[in-house]
Amino acid sequence: MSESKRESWGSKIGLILAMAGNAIGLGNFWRFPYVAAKGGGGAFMLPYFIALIFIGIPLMFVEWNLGKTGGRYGHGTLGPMVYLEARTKLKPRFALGWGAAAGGLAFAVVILVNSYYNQIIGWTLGYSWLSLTGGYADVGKSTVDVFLDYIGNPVNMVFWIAALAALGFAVRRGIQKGIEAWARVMMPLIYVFGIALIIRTLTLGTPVRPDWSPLKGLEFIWTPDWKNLNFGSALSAAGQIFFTLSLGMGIIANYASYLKPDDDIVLSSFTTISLNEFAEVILGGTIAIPIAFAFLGPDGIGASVGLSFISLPNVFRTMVGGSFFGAFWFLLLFFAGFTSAIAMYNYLVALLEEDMGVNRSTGALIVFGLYVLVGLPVGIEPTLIRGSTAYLDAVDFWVGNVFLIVLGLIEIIVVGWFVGKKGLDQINRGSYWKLPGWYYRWFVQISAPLLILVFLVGYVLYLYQGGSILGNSLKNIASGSPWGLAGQFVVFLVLILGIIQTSRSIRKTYGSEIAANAIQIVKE
Amino acid sequence: MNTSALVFMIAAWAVIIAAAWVGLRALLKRSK
Repeated sequence: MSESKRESWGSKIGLILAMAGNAIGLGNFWRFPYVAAKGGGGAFMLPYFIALIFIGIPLMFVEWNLGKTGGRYGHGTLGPMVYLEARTKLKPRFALGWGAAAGGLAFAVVILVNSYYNQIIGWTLGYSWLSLTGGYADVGKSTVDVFLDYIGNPVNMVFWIAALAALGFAVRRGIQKGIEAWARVMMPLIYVFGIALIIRTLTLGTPVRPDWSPLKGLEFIWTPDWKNLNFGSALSAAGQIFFTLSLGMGIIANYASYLKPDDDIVLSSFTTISLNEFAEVILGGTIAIPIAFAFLGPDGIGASVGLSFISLPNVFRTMVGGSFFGAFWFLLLFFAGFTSAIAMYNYLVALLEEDMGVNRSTGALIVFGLYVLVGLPVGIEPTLIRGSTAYLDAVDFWVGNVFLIVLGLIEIIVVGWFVGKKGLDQINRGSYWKLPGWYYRWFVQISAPLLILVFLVGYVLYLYQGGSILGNSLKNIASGSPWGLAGQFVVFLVLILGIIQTSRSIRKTYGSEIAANAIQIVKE
Repeated sequence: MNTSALVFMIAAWAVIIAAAWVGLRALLKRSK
């Protein structure tokens, strides 16, 4: 098969900003603070860094490599990429199984995550508007009621549709004029807004009680706490690494598929991770929790999902310049969510281009319709049952906690073990920095798959015994409302459809060699 | 802030800032 001509990134900095935008998302600013607070602050940060070093970084190299290799053969989606790599060692029919599983999971993750991710992006846009117009300024009304009224009002779905339309517009313009151009504007703004908010946070003083200060909030996050380290906090820390680096979704591989054959992987992956961690640990960790601690005290930081949308508006409406800083905060969330959502949107457009032969504009329109369809249950549920998010919880439970990790395991086994040592050559080809053999052996081939496996087995046992992650357990998901059951049904329906779709996609290009069960299309 | 929290935070921040700085600088140098 000849190497096909695909669109590519315009510049190295544009690529890094887009990749960092892909990784930096709601996970950094909305999810990280409440997950860290729930995981016990200092007891969470220790397993967080361990998971980053031993799972996150090796898997990032692997996803870039899968994408770059697959892109050379015209593939922008994970199924064919994994198939191509898996057949280095396996017969084509076995490789098809691995490719279909990986592609099906990525298909499910990207569609299902977007059933609620885009809704939350819509909330951030809506709350930016509320901040500027005094929508939550009335101290007589609790911010819980403000939030429930907001998500319960169908008119506010206009922000969700507006966000989807902007995403479609950006992706329609292509890699350089669309994705890269938007990343060049939004990424610097994320850092500028984040640094402005940090300065404001650290100069808050003690507005409510002398023992409640932003520094006390930082102390909570950063005091190393081996005593309270438990399996639950370790699991949520490892899960957060997947979420924050956008791993196990196929979207890093999709962006890497637009690399040129001799483009760098090692330095670019390393810089993407560093920029993501800067946004998460330094910016994300120094805004929400210290602000909440200064105004609401130790109880205020355990507000779970509502930390951003319920606790912080409480603060913004009482602080000097609060409407301005509130708008900054929610726009920061919006930009972060948007630059990740573009990557997921582009994954589905690439899938339509590849498998159905549609052009980019039509693909963007189809994905817009699909997103509206899958997002409607998430949007409608709280308008019918006040405050209910059972559908969202069920989808997030399976996708965020299970699918990402299984997909990450497949990717690292395929590259680390099926491609084996050749994987190191693929990663190092054209790279400015070279990964040493010992790193590949110990981190990519051994520690990452082993730790992910331990993590998965431990996770299943933990949940089976009634343990909960971020307040969700198998029991309360399975025995929840009809909305929760419907959410679970949709999760597995989309997964099955994804596996069928990917299998057909791989067979379309490689059908003859799969039928013969012998490699005919030679890959370097 | 207690000393152990301060040390942990400064060490983590320093490593992350240094990594981002080194990475970006190396990329900028090569994109000229």
